Amino acid sequence: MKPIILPVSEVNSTVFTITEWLVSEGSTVKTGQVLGHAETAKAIYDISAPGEGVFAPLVTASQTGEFQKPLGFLFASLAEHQTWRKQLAEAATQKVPGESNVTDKAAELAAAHKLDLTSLKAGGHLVTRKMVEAEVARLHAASTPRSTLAPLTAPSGIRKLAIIGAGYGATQVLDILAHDASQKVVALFVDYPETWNTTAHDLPVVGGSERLGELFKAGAFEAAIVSISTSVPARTKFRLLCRELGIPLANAIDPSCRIARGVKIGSGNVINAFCFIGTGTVVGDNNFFSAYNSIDHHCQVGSDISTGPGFMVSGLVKLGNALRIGTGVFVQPLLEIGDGVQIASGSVIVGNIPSYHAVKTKIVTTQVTPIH
Amino acid sequence: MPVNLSDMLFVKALNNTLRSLLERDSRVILLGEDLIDPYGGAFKVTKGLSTDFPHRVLTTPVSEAAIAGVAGGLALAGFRPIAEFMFGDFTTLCFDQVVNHMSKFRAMYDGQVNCPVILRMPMGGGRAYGPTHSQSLEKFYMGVPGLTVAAASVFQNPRPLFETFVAGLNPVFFVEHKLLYAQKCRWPQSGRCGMFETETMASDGFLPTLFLRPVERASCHATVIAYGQSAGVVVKMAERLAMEREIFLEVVIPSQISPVDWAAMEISADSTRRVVICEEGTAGWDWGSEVSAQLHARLFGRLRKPIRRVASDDGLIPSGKQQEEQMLFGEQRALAAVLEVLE
Amino acid sequence: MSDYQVHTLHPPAAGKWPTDARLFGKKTDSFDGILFRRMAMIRRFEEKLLALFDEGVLNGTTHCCIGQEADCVGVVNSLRLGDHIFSNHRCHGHFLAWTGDVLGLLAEIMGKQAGVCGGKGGSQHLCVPGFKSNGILGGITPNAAGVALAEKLRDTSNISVVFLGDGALGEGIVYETMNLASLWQLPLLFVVENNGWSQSTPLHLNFSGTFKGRFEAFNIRVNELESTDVREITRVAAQTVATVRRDRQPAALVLHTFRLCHHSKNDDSRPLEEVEKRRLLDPIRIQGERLPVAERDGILSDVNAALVEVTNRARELV
Repeated sequence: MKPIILPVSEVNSTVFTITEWLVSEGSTVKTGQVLGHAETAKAIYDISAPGEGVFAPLVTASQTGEFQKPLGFLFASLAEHQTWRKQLAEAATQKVPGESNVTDKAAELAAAHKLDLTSLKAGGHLVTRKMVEAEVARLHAASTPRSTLAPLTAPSGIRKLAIIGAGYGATQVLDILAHDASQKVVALFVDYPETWNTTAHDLPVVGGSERLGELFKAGAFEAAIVSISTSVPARTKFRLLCRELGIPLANAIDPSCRIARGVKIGSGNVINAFCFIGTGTVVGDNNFFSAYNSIDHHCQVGSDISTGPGFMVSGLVKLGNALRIGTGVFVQPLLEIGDGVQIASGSVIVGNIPSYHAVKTKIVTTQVTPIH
Repeated sequence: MPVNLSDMLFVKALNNTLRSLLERDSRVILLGEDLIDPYGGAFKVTKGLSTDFPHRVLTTPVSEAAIAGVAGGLALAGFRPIAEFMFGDFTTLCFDQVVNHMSKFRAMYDGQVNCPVILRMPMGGGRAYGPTHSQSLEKFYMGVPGLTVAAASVFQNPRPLFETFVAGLNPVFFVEHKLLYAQKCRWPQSGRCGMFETETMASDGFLPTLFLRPVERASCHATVIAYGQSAGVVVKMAERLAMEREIFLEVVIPSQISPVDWAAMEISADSTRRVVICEEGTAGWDWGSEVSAQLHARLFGRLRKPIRRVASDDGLIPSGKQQEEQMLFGEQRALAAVLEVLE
Repeated sequence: MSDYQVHTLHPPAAGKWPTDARLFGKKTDSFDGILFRRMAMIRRFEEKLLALFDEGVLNGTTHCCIGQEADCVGVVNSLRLGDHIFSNHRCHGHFLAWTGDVLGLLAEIMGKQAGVCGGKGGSQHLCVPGFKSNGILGGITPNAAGVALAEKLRDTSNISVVFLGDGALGEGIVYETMNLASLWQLPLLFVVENNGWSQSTPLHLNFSGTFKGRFEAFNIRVNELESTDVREITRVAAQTVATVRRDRQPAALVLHTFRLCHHSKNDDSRPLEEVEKRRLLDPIRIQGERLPVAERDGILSDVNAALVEVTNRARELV
């Protein structure tokens, strides 16, 4: 097929208007035949057929065309013309970048789950894979029957606790609380619908975090503990959720810990065995300290911190919020570690760490080789 | 008249703007070379206006300095002159009038007079017009005390901008990239523009900055700041990246590029912490250098990566189409920069 | 005196501070007396300024118009309120002939807020209603044309006047403006004060062709005069101003004159004999000789006294 192009180009414009087509689509035209007119600001041009053939316009009358781009085509035969028309029609129904509002990844995921996107697209917003994932999860949760397991009861005078999460962290919390006669865990809340209506660690999984408010109001429990041990964003998320719902957080402190005099500890902290907190230190909320953490005297510790075992902090240190500390980390005195800091295992901190920075280490001399 | 906005060419929107100013404000005078009908200006921006307003559209000899200077005098005398320069490349010829005269009058005369001249001109390459008809020289006018530099884009209706200029008391240097004229307007409607949600912000005394993002700001991965034609290039890239890779960019499009509305520049950067600045001027001593220096100072410690600046190559804009394409700012180099800050 | 068709600018245009009749003209003055008084005001002011610089009281630089007072008074006296004056770096004489505001000008040069432009403009950048000056040679010419165009669009009978030196005629913008002013028939008067020297460079090293030829090339009528006689200059200036005002056309007035002081400060390298020869044509001496001795001396002591007061006042102001 031959493209019909307006060969002239004006210095200052790239567009013109097709004032009219003189021949109709599908008619056969001869070389040089005037097919229509194009108007620019300065002049009106004839559009001539560059050869013989069956004519089809691409740009319709009163629309703008561009110089050097096809305004229409000449086809060798009617059949060729028909094929082209059909292809054009098909292309129009396919997704055009920028006109659809569903990303490629979202479309892929939706197709895999056979999800109908009509309702998601209706808002006019871009439909992303995250939205599709959320919708899939929502449908899954909606289709999962609600838990019929009820929380346990406790004698009066014993504080009823809920634990959020049922993984390894929960097992650690339960072990700590096993020695605590004043509190009893009555329910687990887990955001995986597959676990609902089951028992984990001999405790009922009564639903996901969306049931916390309802059961708290009903008096099923009096305080909660976030048991997720390593994910700082998750700990933060659930602390904020509980705050929003008015649910107090409880501390779980192993009896083997040595908490010095003059120490202030917030709520929702999980402190595993053999931890030491020195005199004058203030600790925030919702922290998860693994075993053998030592925070010496007159430190200031934030909230939402998650540590591995062997976190050794000298005196007079300030620790920010939302930290993730590896195993075996040492901190010299009089330092300040900002918010959101991540420290790799084995680090020795000898200077201040600014917020939202990571401390990495290189393992220099330790080698791992197979035994022959 | 097009039925819906998306059919209106930018040059028509500009023509409508000038027409409405001439209709409503008797102080407005247009002057420049070749403005008279039927020619109506080299880029047809003033088409029809000299016919309908014969004494208020003045054709001038080829005297850029005098055009600017006479406009300055008209403004001193209480008119609202809008001077057109045929190609922005020629604004080198009126530099003294802008810098040593119209920008200084109010300040050096202790506020006794105002000189609200509007200078408008096409800048930019992409048409193979060659070294002296393709440049983006606005960077030489940035940071001139007393002068406002602003830039058109297809995303911003020029009419409220010009109404602000005419109502204001400052001289204005208004850059229209020449490729904009033949493009369709894409003004946001009800907070949306195609796949993007939009937001507008303007600190006191500044022209609006437009924000376009495919998802809410908190989920955007990086901020790309661009004005004029470059903004259109960046938006196209943002569309592609959102659709094909779910990389979400917040595009920040200021209409005022000097002095800069820092609150508007900061707000997205403060959230994504990764910034790319794009422009078509030649690299070095450019708009991006000032914006990035300021943002580094304001957001020090919060940025995840150093700010990347993207511009055209530091050199001549050649006439040959392919050669020109290679050295000008374009989607390819913008994309490379975006991927770099996302590493 | 009655055959002079002259607008005598009385009262003065508004400056930052009111002027003093001792400087600008008493009701009892004869016409020649007013001319003499105003030139003496300018002369003594400029001399005072140079003395203050030597004392170390003033900062920066300045460009005095000693020897050219007749141009200032002759031309400015022919204007009226509503007209617009655009001047250059050597603007004190034009300014004082328009406003008589010696206090505002001195305070401005002293950099004080009480000055005409709040201390921001200084010696070269002055502004009051109807008067603007700037330090870029020739640059203000198209601004003057723009204001003239505004007057034309408003159909008034006001005119714009722009003062140029021989040096300024090196700048292209002046010719761009001449072309436009003539093309558009603007009520703009170009006044060229040719004092033969552009800073340290004599005319023949700077200037090709003729003054008249330049304007006539653009169809602008020229009146040319070589004189330091304020009466002569007043007569020709008045005629020229009247044609611009009446015919609404540009015109040029070329005055051949001489500067009896340095270009700015301590930078006069002109041949001494030339300067001394010209001192014999001092415009103040010429005009002073027309007055009775008593009147002349009276005016001079008025001016001196007023200037002493102004200087003291200016020193006190913030």
